[in-house]
Amino acid sequence: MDRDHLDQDRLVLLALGEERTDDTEDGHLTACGYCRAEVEELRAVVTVSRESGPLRDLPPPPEHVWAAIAESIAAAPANGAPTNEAPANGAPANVVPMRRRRGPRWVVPLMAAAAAAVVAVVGTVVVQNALTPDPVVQAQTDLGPLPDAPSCGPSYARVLDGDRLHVHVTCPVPGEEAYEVWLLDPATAQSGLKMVSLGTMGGRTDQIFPLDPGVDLDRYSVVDVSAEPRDGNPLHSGKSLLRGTLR
Amino acid sequence: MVAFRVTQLGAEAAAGGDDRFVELFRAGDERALRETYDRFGGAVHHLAARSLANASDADDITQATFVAAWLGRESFDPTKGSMLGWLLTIARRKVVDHVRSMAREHRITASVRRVTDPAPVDEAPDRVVERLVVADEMAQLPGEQRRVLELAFYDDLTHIQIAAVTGLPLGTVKSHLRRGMQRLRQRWEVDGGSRSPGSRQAGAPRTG
Repeated sequence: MDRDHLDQDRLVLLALGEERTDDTEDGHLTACGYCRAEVEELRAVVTVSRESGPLRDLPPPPEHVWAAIAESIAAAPANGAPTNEAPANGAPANVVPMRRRRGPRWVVPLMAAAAAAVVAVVGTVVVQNALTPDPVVQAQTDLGPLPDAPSCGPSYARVLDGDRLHVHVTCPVPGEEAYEVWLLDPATAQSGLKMVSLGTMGGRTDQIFPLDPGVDLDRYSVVDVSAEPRDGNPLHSGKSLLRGTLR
Repeated sequence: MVAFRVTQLGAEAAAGGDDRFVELFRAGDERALRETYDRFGGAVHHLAARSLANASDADDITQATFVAAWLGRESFDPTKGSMLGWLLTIARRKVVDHVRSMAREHRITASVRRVTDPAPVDEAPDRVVERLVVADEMAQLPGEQRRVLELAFYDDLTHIQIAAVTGLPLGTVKSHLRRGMQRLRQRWEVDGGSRSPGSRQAGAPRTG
């Protein structure tokens, strides 16, 4: 039977290699550049698809990578101004390498209180190398859900370099309430719980709170995340969602 | 282990599709960044690890990639390709920068660098990118269609065997194969980089 081109289903089966061409098809393929190209391209799709088999269930990167990302962007400018970082994806494949600024190779973002020198990550972010230290985790805790907590994912808090607390909270996005982070002094639980507010998560999964050097973490060792109504009342609402003891 | 998360963002994305999620990302919603990392962090890390000798360098590249993507998020154009393709492009540039900076650190000249290249590449990064985008597209195929293709690609079953195993009519199997391959091919053309079919001259059959 004479056709303009081979049936697409047939081309797919040929590309999969499960069928061999008969004489008529051989003849057609010899003569028809379009069908030849189709089979070639489909074969290429099959090949790359087979190669991608092992990539179906890739493990996520180590968790500290996310923590490092969160810290970096916490110190970055709030607006996403276009930078050399990510040229538009319509660009051709061989892109001119980024200009590199002089200065520190890796800018470790420090969320310092008040007027301390905050190093902002502006424009060029270069790959960290072995010369610059990671922040030192002095203490940390998982934040476990309390009985009335909504279904939150893994959450934790870490004390970094002794001067800031990185809090990671994966709870459902709050509606009218805000998630606030506190340090509690567990020894005072019976006599009038003493606590310090660090601030709110601001709708983020990650937040970095500067730690007042006057607050003794050996006493205020419990990290508490509460749901606070937006009523202007600075006191703890009593609705604790997550809690953990720093070690 | 992927962190379990229940977020409004997840629900929004499911309702509005990827468009909404991309919108949120470009608008600076940090939950969208976390979602992006959850979805594609593994792929970026895999590309970096395959391109460099040192495992901790892959961690650094991954971090630098997501930070760069976030800072430059307004430059992502969803009409030009997928977010995964864009992230992998950034990652590859970071790898190049890293290799160059290592060479500079050790004061190695260009002629010597070839010999002492600190990045023994076991596969061309282009090819790794192609595999990653195709894997991503496979994951997005409708379940039955994906299952048929998996049996064909990874278990080497013929379409007749696939019909027997799945209980589907032969015609349905062939239709799944045809449509699934078409989707994979389109995705590969759009996101696959310079070696994918779409970027070549029209009409020129691939050789070799």
